[in-house]
Amino acid sequence: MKKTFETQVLVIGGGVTGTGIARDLSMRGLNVILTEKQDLNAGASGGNHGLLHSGARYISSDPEAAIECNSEINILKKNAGHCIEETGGLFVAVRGDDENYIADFPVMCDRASIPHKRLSVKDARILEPALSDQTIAVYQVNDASINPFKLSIENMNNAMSMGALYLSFCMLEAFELDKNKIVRAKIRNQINGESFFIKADTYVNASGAWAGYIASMANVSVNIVFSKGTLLVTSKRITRRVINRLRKATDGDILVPGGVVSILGTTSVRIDSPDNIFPTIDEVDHIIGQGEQMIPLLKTCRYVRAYSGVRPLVSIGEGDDREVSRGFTLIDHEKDGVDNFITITGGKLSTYRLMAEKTSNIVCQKHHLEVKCKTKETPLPSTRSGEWSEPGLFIGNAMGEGSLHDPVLCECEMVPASAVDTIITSIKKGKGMPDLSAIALRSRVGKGPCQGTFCSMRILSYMYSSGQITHDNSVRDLKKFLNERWKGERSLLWDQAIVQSSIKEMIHCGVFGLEMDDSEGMGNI
Amino acid sequence: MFEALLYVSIFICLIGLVFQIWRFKRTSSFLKHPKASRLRSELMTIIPGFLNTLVQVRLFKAGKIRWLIHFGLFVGFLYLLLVHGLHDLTSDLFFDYYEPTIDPYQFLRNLNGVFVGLGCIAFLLRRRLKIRINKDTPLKYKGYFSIILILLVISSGFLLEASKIISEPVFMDMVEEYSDVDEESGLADLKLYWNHNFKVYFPQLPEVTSSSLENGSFLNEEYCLSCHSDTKSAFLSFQAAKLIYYAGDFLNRHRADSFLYAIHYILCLCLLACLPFSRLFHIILIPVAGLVKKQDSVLHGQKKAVVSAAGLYACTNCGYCSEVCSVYPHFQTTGNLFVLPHSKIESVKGLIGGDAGINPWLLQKGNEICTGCYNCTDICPSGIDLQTLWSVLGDTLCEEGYLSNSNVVNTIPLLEWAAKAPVSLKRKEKKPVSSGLADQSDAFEACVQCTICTNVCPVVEYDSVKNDYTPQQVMNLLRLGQRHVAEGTRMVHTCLTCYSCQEVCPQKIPVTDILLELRNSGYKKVETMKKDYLKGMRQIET
Amino acid sequence: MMMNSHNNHMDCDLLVIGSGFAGMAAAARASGLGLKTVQTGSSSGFYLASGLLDFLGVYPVDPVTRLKNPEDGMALLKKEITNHPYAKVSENKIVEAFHFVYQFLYDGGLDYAFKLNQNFQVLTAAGTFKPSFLVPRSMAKSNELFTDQKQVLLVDFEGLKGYSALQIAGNLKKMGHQVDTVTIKVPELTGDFNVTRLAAKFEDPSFLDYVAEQVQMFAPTKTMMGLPAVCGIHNTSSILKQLESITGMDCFEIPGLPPSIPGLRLKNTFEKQLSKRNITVLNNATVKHNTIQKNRLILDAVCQNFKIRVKARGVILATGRFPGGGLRAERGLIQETVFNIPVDQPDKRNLWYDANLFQAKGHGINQAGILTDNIFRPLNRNNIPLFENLYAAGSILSHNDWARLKSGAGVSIVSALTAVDHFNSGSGGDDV
Repeated sequence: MKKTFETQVLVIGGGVTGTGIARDLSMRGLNVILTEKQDLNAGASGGNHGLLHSGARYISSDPEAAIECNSEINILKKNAGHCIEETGGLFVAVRGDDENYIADFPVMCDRASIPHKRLSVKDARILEPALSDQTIAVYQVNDASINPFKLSIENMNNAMSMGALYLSFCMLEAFELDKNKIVRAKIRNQINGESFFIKADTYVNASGAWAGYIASMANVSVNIVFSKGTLLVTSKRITRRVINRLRKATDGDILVPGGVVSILGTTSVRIDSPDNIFPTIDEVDHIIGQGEQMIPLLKTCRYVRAYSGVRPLVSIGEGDDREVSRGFTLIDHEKDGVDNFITITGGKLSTYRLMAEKTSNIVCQKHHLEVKCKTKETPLPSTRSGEWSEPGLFIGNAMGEGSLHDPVLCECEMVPASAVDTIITSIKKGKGMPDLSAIALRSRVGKGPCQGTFCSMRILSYMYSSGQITHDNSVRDLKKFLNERWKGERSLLWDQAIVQSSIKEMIHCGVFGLEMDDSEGMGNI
Repeated sequence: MFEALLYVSIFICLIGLVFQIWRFKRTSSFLKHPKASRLRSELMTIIPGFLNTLVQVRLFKAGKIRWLIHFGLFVGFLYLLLVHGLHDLTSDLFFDYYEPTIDPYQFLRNLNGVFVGLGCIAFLLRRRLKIRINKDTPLKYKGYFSIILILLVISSGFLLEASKIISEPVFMDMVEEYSDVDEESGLADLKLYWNHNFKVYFPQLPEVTSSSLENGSFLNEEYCLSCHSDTKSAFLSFQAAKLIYYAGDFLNRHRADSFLYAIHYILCLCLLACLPFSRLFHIILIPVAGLVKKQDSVLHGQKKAVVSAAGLYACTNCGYCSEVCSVYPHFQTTGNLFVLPHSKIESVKGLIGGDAGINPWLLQKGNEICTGCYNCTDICPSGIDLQTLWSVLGDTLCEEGYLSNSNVVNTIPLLEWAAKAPVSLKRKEKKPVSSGLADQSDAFEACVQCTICTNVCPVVEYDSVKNDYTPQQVMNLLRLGQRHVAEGTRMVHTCLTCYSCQEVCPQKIPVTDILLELRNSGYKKVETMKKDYLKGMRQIET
Repeated sequence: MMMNSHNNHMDCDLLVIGSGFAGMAAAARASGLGLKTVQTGSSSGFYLASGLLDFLGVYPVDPVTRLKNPEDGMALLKKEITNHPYAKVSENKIVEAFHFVYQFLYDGGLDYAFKLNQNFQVLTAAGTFKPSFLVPRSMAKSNELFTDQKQVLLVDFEGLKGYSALQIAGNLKKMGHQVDTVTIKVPELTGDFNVTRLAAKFEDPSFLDYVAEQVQMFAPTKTMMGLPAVCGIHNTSSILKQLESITGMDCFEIPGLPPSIPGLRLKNTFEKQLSKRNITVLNNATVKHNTIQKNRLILDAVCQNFKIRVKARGVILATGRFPGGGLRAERGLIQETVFNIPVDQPDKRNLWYDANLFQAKGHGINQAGILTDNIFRPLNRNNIPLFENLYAAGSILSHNDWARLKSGAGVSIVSALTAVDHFNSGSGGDDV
C-alpha cells in the first residue's frame, strides 16, 4: 500500500509564487503541502534579473502592471527588506534612441503615478561613472534588486514554521479525477523513485512555465507560450543602481546589481519547451552588444555566468472573466469542470505577493473561510538558512568566534563547512536529499569564478566524510553538478574564464577522467 | 699607591658585576609578557662554548675582514693582558726566561699592540664612516668609550716604551744594578753604543770612534744582551723614540718614563674598573649568554632569566644587524631609528634604565615594521637571538599599553572591525580616495582559486590556528567587495611580505603587493582606534 | 653564458620559453647536450599537475576506449589525426623520450615506474581509474585494484579538503573490493591548513609511527592501504617503504585536487637537477618577441623590475595553452601570445565548447593550437616554417586534446626532445 499524505491544499511548484502561496495560506491557517519536481526556484523564479520593478518599464506597454509593480515594491521593501537591496534605478537613453519615447516617459510615469526625477547627464555620470559618454537623457526611479532565492527560501521556511510541508524533487505524475474533482495526486520522488499520493481539498497549480502541462493532467487546457530570457552575470558589480535603457522594452537593456555582481539581460526568444534551456553563444554576444551601448565597460568586463529563464505567457481565450490583470493569469478551473483546481501563472517577480494573495483568496473562498490576507502587513522573518544564498553577506559570520577551525569549502564565495552543515540540516528537514546541486541551489556554492572546479570535490568529499552521503555514485553527482555549472559557463568562455575552464577540464577530465565514467552526468532535467 | 689603586679598581669592577646582575634581573622582569617566560629560556641561543669566544666563528661568518681585524685585536689584547700585563702570574712562571725587553717578547708586545691599536682605529672609523648611512639621518652607534680607553692604554704603552728607550736615568739605573761598568771600564763607550744603536738620549757624548763602538758592543754583549734585545725590534716604540729623541733632554730630566708608567698603569686599572660598565664586558657576556641553551638543566628560574638577559647586554652595538636589516629602506624613508635592530636594542636597554628620551610608541612602531626575516639573528656576531627579542619586546610593550597596530587588529573581532567605518570614507573628497591595486579588480580577478599561494604561505603554514583568511581568501574578499573587511584580517597584518605567494601565482596576481597595500590602509584605521584607546586611557586616569 | 649587465642583454644558443613540463624537458635535454640555455616562465603550474605522466591512455575517445597498452591506440591515432604531434614522430622516439625523463627524475631522487607496452590504471581521489604510463612509484600499486579484487584500507586526514576515503571507498566497493576507511586526525593541524605542511609531517618518522598506530587494527585483514598523495615532499618512496614495513600493508598514494604534492615533487626535482646544469633561469619573466637579426631571434624578457634582451640562435616555445598563457582567447579569436603565430582554431565561437562538459569526443577548442612541420616548427599561413630555429612544444600544439586522450606528458616530452635534438644536430657550429 502506497503512502498517502492528506492536506487541505496542495501547491504544485516551488517558485516565488508557489512558496508565496504556501506562506499566505499557512498564515490564514490552512494546511499546505508544496511539491516541487526539482528544488526551489528551478524555473523562472531562479532565472531572472532579481529586479523589483518600479513599474516604469511597463508604463507604455502595460500601464496596469506598472501601477501594480509600484505598489508592490513598496510593500516588499517594508516587509522583506532583508531580501532586497534598495539600489534605486536609472533610465538611460543614449544617442540614437527614440526621442519621442524619451519625451513621453515623464508624462507616462505621472499618469501611472510612478515617482521619477530627471537628472542631468553630468550628474548621472558622477553617480554612475560607468555610463556611456553617449548618454543623452537620464531619469531616476525607485527600482530595487531582490534575491529571489532568498525570498523563496524565507517564504517556505516561514510557511514550514506554521506547519506547511515542502517536498523537493517530488514530481507530479498524475491527478486522479472523480467527476468534477481531483481526488488525489500521484507524486514520484525523483531521488528514490518511489511514488506516493497526496490527497488535498484544493490543488493549486503554481508551476509557472509548466502550468499548461500540469493543467493537462486535470484535463484542462491552459495555453502557455514560452519565452526564453538569457542573463549574464559579471564578475564585479558595475553600477550601484539598476540601469534600464530608456526605450521600448527590448533585448539587453537592463543591468541589475545584486550584491557584488551585476546581471545583464535579457532576451526574449520563443521556444517550444520550458525544459533544458541554456544560454547560447549568439544570445550572449547579442546581449553584450546591446548592453555596451549604455555601459561600454560591459564589452570588456569579465562575466562569470550566464543563465536562462522561461517566462510563461498565457494566450488568453475570449470571455475569460477570472483574469485579474494582464500581468498575471489566475484561473479557477471550476469553469472548466474541475472544482478544486486553480492555476496561477505569468506575472512578475515584483508582483509575486499580489499573485499569492489573489490565489489564496480564491482558495479560501473554496474552503469557505473568511480570513483576510496578512502578507501585506506582516514582515517576512529572516532565518539562517536563507543567509547563505546572498553573496557577500555571510563573510562576517564565517569569521565569528570559534570559526577558526571551520574550513572554507567554497573559496570563491567563502562558504565554510558550517554553512554547508546548516544547509544540509534544512534540506533534511524538508525531507529533501542533500546533494551537491541542492546545496548549490541554497547557497553561493559554485557560483564564483571557479564555477565548481574546486568546491565540487571539496563539498562532495566533505559530505561523504561527514556521513551525509552514503551512496556510491559520487562520480554521477560530481558530473551532474559540474554540468549544471557548465550550462551557464559555456557561453561565456573567453579570456580569463577560459583559463579557469581549462583548469576545470584539466582536473576533472585530465586527472579524474570523469568523461570516461559512463554514469550520466547531464542531470535529470 | 699603585697597589691601593689596584684594589680600588678591583672593587669598582666587583661593584660593576653586582650592578650587572641587578640589571639582568631588572631586564628579565621587564620582559614580562606571559610568553616571555617561555621565550626567555631560548632568548639567547648562540654557538656555545669556547669556540666562538676564541675564534669568533659567528663573526667570521658575518664578515671576513672584520673578523680579521677583530681577531687581531682580540689576540693582541689577550697577549698584552696575559703575557705583558699579568706577567707576574703568567709569563714569569710559564716561560723559562721572560723579560719584557728581550725578543721575541719585546717584538711581540709591539706587534700585538699594533694589532690592538689598528683594530681600535678601524672600529672607530667604521663607527664614524658608515657606508650605508643616509646622510640626512646618520646612524648613531654607541660604544666609543671602551674603544677609546683601549686605544689610550695602547698608546700610553707605546709612549711609555719609547720614553724608556730614550731614558738616560733608566739606563743609568740598569747599569748600576746589573753591571760593574764604570767610567774607567768604558761607560762612555757603552753609552755611545746604546745611543748609536738603541737611541738612548744622553746630554753629552764623546766622539764616535770605531774602537769605542767596538768596546761598547763588547760591554753590551757582556752585561746587557741577556736582558735587552735591540730596541729596533720594538718597531713602533723605536720609531716613536726617534721622534721624541729631540726632546730627550727635557723628558729625561722630568722622568717622563715614570709619569707615563703611572698613566699607563692607571689607564689599565680604569679599563679593569670600567669593564662591567662598558661594552668591553661582552668578552664575558657572550660566553655567559651562550651557557643558557647548553646548560638548560643546570640553570633554572630566575638564574636562567638573569643569564639570558645577559645576552641583551652582550650586544656591542656593532650595527651589523642594521646593515642587513630587511626594512632598512623604511628607516631611510621615515627616519625612525627604532626600525633598526641595533638602535632598538639600545632603546630596550634605555627603557629598562628609565631613559625618558625613548618614546615607547615610536619604538613599538619601529619594532612592528620588522618582517621577521631573521637576517639580524643570523648575522649577529654575539649570537643574540634578536628575532625572539623583538617579538618579546613587541609583546612587552603591548602589555605596557603601547599597542602595536597588529595587536589592535588581532584583538578586535573581524565583525567589529568591519562595522567601523573605513577611514578613507570619512574624507570629504568626492573622488574615490584610493586607486591602489586592491581597488582595481583587474589586479586580482584573474584568480583561478588554485590555492597555490596559500600552500606556500609561511604564515598559513605555521600559524594556521590563529590565522583567519588565507592569501587567496583575501583576494576573494576583495572580489566580493569586502575591502574594509580584508583590511582587518590577520593574514594581512601577519604577512611577512616574503613574496612567495606572488612568486608562484600562475596568474601573476600581485598577491603580496595587495596584502601590503591593505595593511597600510588598515593601519590608518588602526591609528584612529589607537587614538580612541588613548583617549579612553586618559579618561580612566583622570 | 655571456651576460652584459650594462645594457642587459644575453646571448644564448637556445631560449626555452616556458617552465611547464615541455619547457623543463627541453631545458633538461638542451643542457645535457651542452647548449647554452636560457629558460623563462613560471614553474608553479606543476602544482596543478597530478604527477602522472601519460603516454596515451584513451583512443579512440568516442566511445571511450581505455588502453591497457598505449601502443594499441597509436596506429589508429596516427591514421585518424594526421596533425597529432604523435603522428610526426616514431614510437621509438616517444619511448626514448620517456626513458630520458625517467632517468632525469631518477637522478634527481624522484622514483617513477613504467613498464613497456603497459599503462598503469591509477586510482584517483574521485574514485576513478586513470590510465597513465610513467607514474610515481608511490602510485603504481593501485594498478592492482583495477584488475584484482583486494582487501583495501583507505586513509584520509581530518581537514584535508577535497579528499574523502569514504567517497573513494564507494567506488571501489562497486568493483567488488573489500574496503574499510579510517580518518586520521593530525593533532597540530586545524582550520585551513596547508597540504604542504601535512606532506612535510610525513618526513618525520614519529608521524609515520602515529599513522601506523591509527591503522594498526586493520592490518590483520587488509593487504593494501591507500593514502592521499601527501606522503612526504622529498623522500616519498622511502616513506612509503617504511610505512609498509611498519603496517605490513602495501601502500599507495591517490592523486587528488591541486595543489598537488606529486606536482611539487616534480617541480622540485626539475629545478634541482636543472640548477646543477648551469642553466640561466629568468624566473617569472614574460617574453615578447622583438625582432630577428642575423639568424638570431631577439626577444625581450620582462620581469617585474627589469628587462633583459635575449639573443637566441633557437627558441623552444613551450608556453602552454590558456592557463600557461601561451594562447589567449578574445571573444571569438584565439591568439598566440609571444610571436603571434597563426593559431589553427574552429571557425566560430559556437564551436569552441560542447553543451556537455564531459562530451566524449572532446571540445572543439581542444583541437586548436599551433600547426607545425614534422620537427615541430610552427608554420605560417602558407605552411612554411616561420623561422629556421623556432620550435613549439607541449600543449600549445594543435590537434592534441591531451585531457581526453590522456597524453599530456608524452606529447610535451617528445615534442620538446625532438625539437631540441633537431636544433642541436642542425646547428653544430656557431653561424655568426
